[in-house]
Amino acid sequence: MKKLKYILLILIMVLPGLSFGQEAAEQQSFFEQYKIEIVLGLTVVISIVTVVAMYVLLIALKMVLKLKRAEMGIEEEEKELIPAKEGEEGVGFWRRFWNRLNDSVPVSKEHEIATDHEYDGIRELDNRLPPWWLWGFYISILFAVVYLINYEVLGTGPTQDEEFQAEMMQAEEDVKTYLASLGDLIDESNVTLSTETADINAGKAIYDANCAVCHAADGGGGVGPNFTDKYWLHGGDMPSIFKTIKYGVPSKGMIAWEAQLSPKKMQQVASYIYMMEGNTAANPKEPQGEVFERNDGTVEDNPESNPDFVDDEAALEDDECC
Amino acid sequence: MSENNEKVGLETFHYDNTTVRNFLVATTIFGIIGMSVGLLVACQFVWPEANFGLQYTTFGRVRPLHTNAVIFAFVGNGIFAGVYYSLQRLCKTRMYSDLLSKIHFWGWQLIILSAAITLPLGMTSGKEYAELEWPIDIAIALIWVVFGLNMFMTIIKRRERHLYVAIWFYIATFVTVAMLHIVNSFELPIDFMKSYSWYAGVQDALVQWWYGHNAVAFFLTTPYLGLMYYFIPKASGRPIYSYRLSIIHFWALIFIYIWAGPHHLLYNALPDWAQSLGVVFSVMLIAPSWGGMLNGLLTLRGAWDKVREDAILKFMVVAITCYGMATFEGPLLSLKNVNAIGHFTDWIVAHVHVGGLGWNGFLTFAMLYYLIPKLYNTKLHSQKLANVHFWIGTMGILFYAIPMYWAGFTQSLMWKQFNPDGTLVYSNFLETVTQIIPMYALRAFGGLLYLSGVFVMVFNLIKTAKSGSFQAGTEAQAAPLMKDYKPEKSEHWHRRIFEWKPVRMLVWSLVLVAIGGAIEIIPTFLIQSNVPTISTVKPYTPLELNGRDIYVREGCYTCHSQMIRPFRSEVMRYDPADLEYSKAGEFVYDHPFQWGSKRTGPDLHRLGGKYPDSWHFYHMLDPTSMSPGSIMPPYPWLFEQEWDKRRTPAKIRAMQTLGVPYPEGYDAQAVADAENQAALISKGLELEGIKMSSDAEIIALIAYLQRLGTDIKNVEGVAEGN
Repeated sequence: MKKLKYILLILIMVLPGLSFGQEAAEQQSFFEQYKIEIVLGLTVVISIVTVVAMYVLLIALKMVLKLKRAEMGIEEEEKELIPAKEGEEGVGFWRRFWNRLNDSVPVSKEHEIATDHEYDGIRELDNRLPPWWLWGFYISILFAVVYLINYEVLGTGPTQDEEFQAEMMQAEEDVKTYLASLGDLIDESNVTLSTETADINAGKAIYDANCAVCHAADGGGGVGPNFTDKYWLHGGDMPSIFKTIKYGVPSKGMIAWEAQLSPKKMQQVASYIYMMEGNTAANPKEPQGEVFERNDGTVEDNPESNPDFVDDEAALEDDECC
Repeated sequence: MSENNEKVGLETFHYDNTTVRNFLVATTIFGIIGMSVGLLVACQFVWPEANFGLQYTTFGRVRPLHTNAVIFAFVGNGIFAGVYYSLQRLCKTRMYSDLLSKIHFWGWQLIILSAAITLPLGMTSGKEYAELEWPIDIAIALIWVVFGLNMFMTIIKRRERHLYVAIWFYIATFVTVAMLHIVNSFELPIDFMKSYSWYAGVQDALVQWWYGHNAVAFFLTTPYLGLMYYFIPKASGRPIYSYRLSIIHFWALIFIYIWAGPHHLLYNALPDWAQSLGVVFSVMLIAPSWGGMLNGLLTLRGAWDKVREDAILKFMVVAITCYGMATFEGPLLSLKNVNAIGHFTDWIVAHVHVGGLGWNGFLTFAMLYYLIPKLYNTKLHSQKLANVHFWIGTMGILFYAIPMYWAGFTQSLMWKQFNPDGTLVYSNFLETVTQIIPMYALRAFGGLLYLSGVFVMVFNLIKTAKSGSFQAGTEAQAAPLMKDYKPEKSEHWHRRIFEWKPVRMLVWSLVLVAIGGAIEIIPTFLIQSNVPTISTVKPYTPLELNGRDIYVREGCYTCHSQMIRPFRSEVMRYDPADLEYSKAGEFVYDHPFQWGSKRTGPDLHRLGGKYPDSWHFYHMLDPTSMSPGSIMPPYPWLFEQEWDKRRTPAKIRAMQTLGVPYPEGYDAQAVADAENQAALISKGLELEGIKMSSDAEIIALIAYLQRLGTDIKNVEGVAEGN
């Protein structure tokens, strides 16, 4: 019965871990992100281990010394780590340690610190305040004073807005450095259609996860417009599709995906959408926008050469649809 | 007690056990109801269909029912039972008035009943842990005063000179809860069961969490510390460990606790200085809280052999340990860098349940096991069953807390994780929810265990009661107090100054708790710079106001925050276009504020304009159609019910009274304006192939959702009418 209890206990502790095994794959950026927390956690663990190790060492040392003395024939009465106080004879080491830690008067002597208070049979002792508790209280008050001086009096600690600005600037720099290290950056000025199977498959995955709810899995449209017809609201060439995905059309409910999809991913999903034109949809939405003539199905379109694209925002203004 | 206590002829009197018994029965019944409702809402996380498709049992309405039931009905009745039992015995007198006791008991049960009816009906003020509408608020204040009067008069006519530490806690509880409840419940009624919070935005948030935090402090903590101080020495037969520790931790606790409220609003749109105060006072709170834990645990010195056998003591030890853990964790969560991870996640839910299930629940059970045999003059039916209850309950707490810690931590890390190219790894919020659904299932199982334990207890206690006979009054004898008492110089200073002067005790408690509240709250009202105004932020249109009322009614705030914290991970997720976090000036017309405290779904503060109207239409009809895998329940009734035209003029007038700058006489025009806006939305939907009457509630809700957080982006300041 006892054993079962413990096994169950351990199971509860470990169970949550099982369903999260899949996260291990993404650990790399996780470590990057939580450096400070990890270092702090490690510090705590290491300090606990150190304390325990030192304690064990101390005991080992004592034993060695004792053996040595015995070898040398020195007889010595055993000294205890914490000598027993009056009234503590026969009390175990840990009990004595605990009493000392709390500066308590041992139970056998408690009549000495009993007050004369009695309420419905309840008596009160008057033990001294546990020193570690009292010092903890003092330290927390000191912490409060230092904290307030730092953040509110001297203003040396950052306000939350300053923290935010610093975080954003740092992130911007990091991202820039990272993107620069990749070399060729994809943006609306240079994006090209990719017909590689890997890219199209990746594009399909992104599409199914993010776009299908509004545009339907087969591109037939729903809340958002139909991709299978020749009509496009914001241009049907690669740069236009890419741009619409990247910046969105906030006034019409199309989200800007820039923050959520990397340029490569936006290229993949744009390519997938590009290829949808001409497919047959199960429930096609009525055409929206204007017929968009693509120069060529496979070659990149140059936005400059395409007048429809340039004016397309303006053209939309009269579009009563959506 | 010394020479003043010469026997001047003993008086014989009877303690009132009937009221105690009634409160004990009530705490048990409402414990079962409150926990069952808790189990129901826990199941809805895993099976959203567990709302039975009814508006009355949908999460947003039932969750407040759960919190109100367990806090005010289960714990509340527990407090009263313990106070009525211990106070009489500590004061050596019967309760002051049997009539007041009766009014108190039945009044409180009626309040609970009215809460149980109105909350599922969606009558709510929209402020967490203070959801009840204004007539019930008034009833609570009245009944609380009845309780206070009855308690205080009992203290006045006591036959024991000095007040025991438990009574200090009872006095502080009474006076502080009265203050909190009255200040936080300032609201302007527009008719029976509908009102608007007097405060708006940042101020409302500050007052609300000053209240909310101290409801924990002075409803769930101080009265239970009082009970601990009575029942631990009684059950263990051991003297209180340290009198001086009682004194220091009592005064320090009540003084410091009241300041800590803003730690619920760290990294929110609250002035930095108020946040800093919240942080430092929370940290300073560890020692005073642990003072109570130490005094409880160390009182058991020399009785640990009994703990091994006695289920009552076991419950008490776990209760105090949970108290110690929760009061250490609280300050930890109040550090801004830890709060950045924990806030809005299930970590907080785990934290409160360690306190609720462990501290309040287990101490209540201990009290029940102790008192029922006493009141029925018999022995507990089965120690073994009590031990079974103890183990099931403990397992329940573990099964609840550990998965929730895990879930909270996991989800928070997922929210914050970036790819090196600057995009979010889990850009779809839903991914972070589906990931932790197994944890929600485990949590529900933990709740089921805990509740099963309660049923074991009920069986045991009924058997116990049947084996004995109820003692309506316990006879006792004591001498009356002599009139001409003067404390001696040799007495302890605290005894000389406070312990024989209940009124002085009350006044000083009030002074101490009023200081922190006043210093934090008043400047936010008086000093303009605390809430910087934003000129483009305009009042809601009448239709949006109605939509907002629906949002409040459905308890959307129980799952969705409206507070984008100043973190890269939050602005990137919730406002990728402008990267604006939520500013104090954006909430100046929000009566009540709806910042929320838990994100089961994503933040909604910048929802306006993010999706087309049709998206919201389909989403509210069936959330999974727009977000496959969503655990949000459908809201079909919003498509059948009509938004509130009748009370719209009254709503506008109320807002004007509260300082919202609608033009004079606008109430007359409000309905027409609202109808126009509704017609526009309805027409827009029609173009999308959706036929919907412009009178349907969904139209008003869409209007509100599309307005959320958009004003700050209107550089020209055109906000009204969309």
